Amino acid sequence: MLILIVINNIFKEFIKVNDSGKKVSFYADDDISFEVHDGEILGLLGPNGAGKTTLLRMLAGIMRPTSGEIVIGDMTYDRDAIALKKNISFLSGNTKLYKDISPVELLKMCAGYYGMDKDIIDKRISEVVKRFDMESFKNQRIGNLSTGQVQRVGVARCVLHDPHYYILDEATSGLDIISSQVILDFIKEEKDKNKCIIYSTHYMEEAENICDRVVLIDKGKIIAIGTPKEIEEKTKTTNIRDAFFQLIKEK
Amino acid sequence: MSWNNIKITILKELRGVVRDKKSLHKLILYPLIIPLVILLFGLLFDTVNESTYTLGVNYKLSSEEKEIIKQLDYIIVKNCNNIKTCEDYYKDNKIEGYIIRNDNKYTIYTDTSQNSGEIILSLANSYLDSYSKMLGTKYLMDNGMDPNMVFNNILVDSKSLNKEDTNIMSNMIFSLVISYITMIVVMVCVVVVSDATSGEKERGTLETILTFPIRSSELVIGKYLATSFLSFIGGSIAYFLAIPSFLIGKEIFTSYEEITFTTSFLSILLSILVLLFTSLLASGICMALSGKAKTYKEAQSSLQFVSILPIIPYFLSVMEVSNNFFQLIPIANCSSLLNDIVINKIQFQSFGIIIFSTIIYIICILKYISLQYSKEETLFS
Repeated sequence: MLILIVINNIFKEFIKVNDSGKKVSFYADDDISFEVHDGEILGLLGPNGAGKTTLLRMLAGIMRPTSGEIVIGDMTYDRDAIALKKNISFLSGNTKLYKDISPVELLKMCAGYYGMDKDIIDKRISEVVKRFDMESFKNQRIGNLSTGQVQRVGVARCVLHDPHYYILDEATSGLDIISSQVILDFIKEEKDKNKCIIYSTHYMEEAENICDRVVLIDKGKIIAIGTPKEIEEKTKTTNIRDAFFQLIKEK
Repeated sequence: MSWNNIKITILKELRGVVRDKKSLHKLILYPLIIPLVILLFGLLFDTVNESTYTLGVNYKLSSEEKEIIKQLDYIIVKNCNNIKTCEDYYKDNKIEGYIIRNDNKYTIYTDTSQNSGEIILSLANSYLDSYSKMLGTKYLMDNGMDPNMVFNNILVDSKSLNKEDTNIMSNMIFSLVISYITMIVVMVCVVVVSDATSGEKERGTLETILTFPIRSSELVIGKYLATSFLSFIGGSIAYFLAIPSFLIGKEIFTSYEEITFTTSFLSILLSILVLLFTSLLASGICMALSGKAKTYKEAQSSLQFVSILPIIPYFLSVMEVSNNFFQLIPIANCSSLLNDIVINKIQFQSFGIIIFSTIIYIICILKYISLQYSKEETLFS
């Protein structure tokens, strides 16, 4: 298996104002290093505030690390930000879509930003509309759609330019079982196409089911890395949730 | 720099405003206030100018007095026989003042704390002066003397040095409306820039757009050009409503008859140019100031003071303060320049200096906002 994403000693420092009104610095991500392989789903697990979203934002190129290096393929954001972003998709529970436009208009706008060939845009949009069963609402304004439908539009936006890297942050957060399943199915399909996927969630069972390996993070630091089975054996537990609590306790 | 990305961003912003009812309504409603203001003030001034004042007198007017009263505009005389009746009429607001004659002594009773009292005092004095002069003239002529040697031994005439300012109020309204056109440019900027920057942060769509292969400079320029274009449209609508409204107003209302302004092609062209530069500058200033605001409302409140800038020259002119120093204040100088163009008092040297300084301001502000929007504190505040 090829190593596609290398994260080396990533630190991310933020400044916050404490209770006494003084500015203090803290590290959202503190010396994070791991690799992701071709055709792999790597789960990023941890509680709220663990530093997952910051790490994924850095991987998606919308934030810069304070120090450390991120290499994706053979590119870095310092040298090839635009080329790199054209081959990456970032889907987050926090990112919202424009409410005043329709899914088709959104997809056309995205296709424009990704510099897709005008001749193939309509064909590609038809494909993703069909794939995510959006035909019935493709021309309605996004603001009028249900949460599940909006999330499907979000996923369609991600796959439109056929990227090789997916960065998914709490993508199923707040969704019902059916809507979540649409996203989980999409992740599995992309894995089968040998794509490289980083999947962050705080649903431990979900991660255990679909991830090849998991990285457990707490307070900005990696506390374990390996396959779910390896971590369970190491912590002498039967599931990843118990393993996580065991590791926190040991720490 | 990808012009394709800038073009997509501009279209996205324009579509956002067109489809957002609140923003669209503001873009249309702000300029629509102009014809209404012109109509209302035209009606008001004409009504004030046509007002007549009633003066009570406790005596019967002679035919000569009636003739003098007839020649004085705005005054009607009402006979109230005695002091008591005059006082009652005054209390019942039937008269604005009264004259009590006792033999050869005329006493004028008015309340000069009120505007109508001041006017009726002036009119009563005019009537009595004219009547006194008429009696004197008659006496002199009856005794074979030339009244001109007594009353017209010197000739007095007065002429206004500023021929255009014959109607101060209507000229003030004209200047105010012209300042309001620049104000509309800024007000539209405040609405659309708040939405394009902090509004997008608040809705969470900025993160989405940042994941696309777009440089922050392209995003900033796209938003800047879109917001500048929208405010320019707002200002142009206001301008093309104001000038015809005043032209129609001149036909309908006597108060507007003496307002002078130009509708030459050059004046229209220069006005549009000034509005364009004002839009570019106002949009830049608003984007720079709203950068760190977290919400749409926060951005709007941080930008409110910018809306006052265009009105500064107007207030300074009303207070008769020397207007040279505000040539340095961005937006305020554009407002002053637009006024000069419309009333055909443009000095091309001043025009060149203001446009040049505005270009310098725009370049500096664009550099600043490009730098600001490449920082995470701005994007994720």
